[in-house]
Amino acid sequence: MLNCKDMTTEAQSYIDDELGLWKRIQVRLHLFICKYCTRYVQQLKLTIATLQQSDLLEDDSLNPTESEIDDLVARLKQNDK
Amino acid sequence: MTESSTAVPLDLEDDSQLIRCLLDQDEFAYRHVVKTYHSSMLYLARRIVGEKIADEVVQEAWLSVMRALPKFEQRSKLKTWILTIVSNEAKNRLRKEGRHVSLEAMTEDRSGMADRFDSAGHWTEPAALWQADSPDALLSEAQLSGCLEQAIVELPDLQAATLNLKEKQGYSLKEICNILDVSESNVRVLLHRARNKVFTVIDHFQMTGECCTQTAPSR
Repeated sequence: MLNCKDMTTEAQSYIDDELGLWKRIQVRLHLFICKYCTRYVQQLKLTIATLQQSDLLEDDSLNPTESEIDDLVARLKQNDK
Repeated sequence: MTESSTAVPLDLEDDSQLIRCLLDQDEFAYRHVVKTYHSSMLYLARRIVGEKIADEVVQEAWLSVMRALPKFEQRSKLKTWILTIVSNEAKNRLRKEGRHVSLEAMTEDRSGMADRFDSAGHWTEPAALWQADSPDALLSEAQLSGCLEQAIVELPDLQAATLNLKEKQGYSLKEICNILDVSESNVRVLLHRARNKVFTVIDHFQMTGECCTQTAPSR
C-alpha cells in the first residue's frame, strides 16, 4: 500500500502516464481515500500546466538577433565548403 | 548551391526535407535551423557549463552538427540529435577544464517536500487549498511570478534543464535520457524534484503571500 510520501513521486509518474496497471490501481486507491493527496495531485497538475503555458522556462534573451543569425549562417556555410 | 528561393516550398516540420536542404547549403534552411534551435541549445549549454562559455560551446556544437549531418541516420528527431551534440560538447568542455557534473549535487532535493511527512509517511503539513484554479490566475500575481522565476534560476542546473526539456519542449523521459546521457531513473528524480520545488513555492505563496526562496525575486 502506498503512503502519502510515496505519492509525491508515484503521483508524478501517474500524471505522466508512466505507470503499469498495478501501480496505477494503487495510486487510484490511495487517491480515493486521501483528500490531501488528491489535493496534491490536482495542484501538481496545475503547477505543470503553469510551467507549460507560461514563459517561466524560456529566456527570450537567448534568441539570436538577425545579425547573429547572419554571422552564424555565414560561418557554417563557409565551414561546409 | 541553392539559395533561399527553392522551387518547391520547404516543409519545415519535415526533418528529411530540412536535412536535404541543409546538405545542399540552402540559405533558408540554414537560417531556419539557427533561428529555431539556437536558443534551446544555448539554454541547455548554460545549464551544463555555465553562462560564460555556453556561447562558445554552442558555436562548436553547430560546427559539429554540420560536420556530422551527412552521417545522421535520423533515428531521432533532428532537434533531439542537435541537443545531444550540445550536451556532449558541453560535457567534453567540462572534462577538459577538469570540472564535472556531480549527479549527487544535481539531484539534491531543495523542495523541502520530504519534511512534510511523519515517519509513517503521512502528511504532517499538507498542501494549502489554493485559491487560483488556472495558470492564468496563478500568474496574475506578479509577485508569485517573480518567486517562480527566482526558484527556477536557483534549481540545480540539470533539474532546470530537465524541466525545460520536459515541460517546455515536450520531450519524453527517454529522449531526455539520451540528450543528457543520464539514466531514466535519474531523469525521473531530476524532474520530480524540480516540479516539487515549483509546487512548494506556489504552495508557500498561497499560504503566506510571500516567496519561500532564499533570495528576493528580481522584480
